[in-house]
Amino acid sequence: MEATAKHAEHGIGRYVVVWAILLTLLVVSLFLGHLSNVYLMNALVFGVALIKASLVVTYFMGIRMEPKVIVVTLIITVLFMVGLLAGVSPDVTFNPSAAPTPL
Amino acid sequence: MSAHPVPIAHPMHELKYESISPSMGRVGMWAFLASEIVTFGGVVCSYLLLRLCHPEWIQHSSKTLLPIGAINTVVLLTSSLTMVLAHHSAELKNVAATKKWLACTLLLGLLFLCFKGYEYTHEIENGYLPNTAVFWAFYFAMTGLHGLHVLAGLVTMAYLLIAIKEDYRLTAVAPVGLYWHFVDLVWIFLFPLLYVTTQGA
Repeated sequence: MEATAKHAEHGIGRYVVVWAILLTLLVVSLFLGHLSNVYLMNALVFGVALIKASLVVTYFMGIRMEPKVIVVTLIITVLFMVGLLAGVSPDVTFNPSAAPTPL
Repeated sequence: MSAHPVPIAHPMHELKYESISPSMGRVGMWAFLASEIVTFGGVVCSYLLLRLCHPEWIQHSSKTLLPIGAINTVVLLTSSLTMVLAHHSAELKNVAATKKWLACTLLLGLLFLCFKGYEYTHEIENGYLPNTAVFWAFYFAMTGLHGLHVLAGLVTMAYLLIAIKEDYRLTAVAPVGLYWHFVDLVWIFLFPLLYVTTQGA
């Protein structure tokens, strides 16, 4: 019983640490938004967003404890989404009248 | 002893929720979330591609309220923490703590919608409507769709708060938690897309 309580406390502590890291990363992304190089700024801000997303998926959603079939299904879904984006992106990348610009 | 819960007899021969194992609930929610990735992914990818083609959108995108967006991010991240604590309490079969954390999540979700309502009011008063420019059409579509998901989560949580009793409906907290974290996840990407990377004009 005592071990369960200790385990529960340990679990709660871990969630609070993840939450604190997420808030810190939010502050970091706000500072990154002031960078003068917009390409670098976009890359770093979305990089931070990816780190935040992976923390939520790993620790809050508990993807590590799910069966592999669920993980694979989700990865395939994301790959489809990226594939669709990549499929239509040449219109933006190679069309001279629609040159890519910073976000 | 069987690993699966025994279905509860019902006069109308319906299977009550307790006949569904917690893992089945989670698998169902993951499948739903996979379809949601495509829904949100499609609109976000469309926005990204159009945004790359239209540098002049910066005139509109720099008008979004960054401080409110940042506060709403803090609110949603905190609500994710309270939701994971509700799930944790449900795993320990602590009904009182589960209800307490669910109520906190519900209040934080309401706070998020209040801030969003303030933001919408400010934008509409300044003449930024979905038909003002394509940027605002995307802005209202993406944040509106996300807001509807928040509302759906709040309704589900309000129902759970009423329905949860000793060992009853506790297993529903896990899939509802997954849904709520996904709502948080979507906002993690909407925030830089619509607020942070648009302020450099």
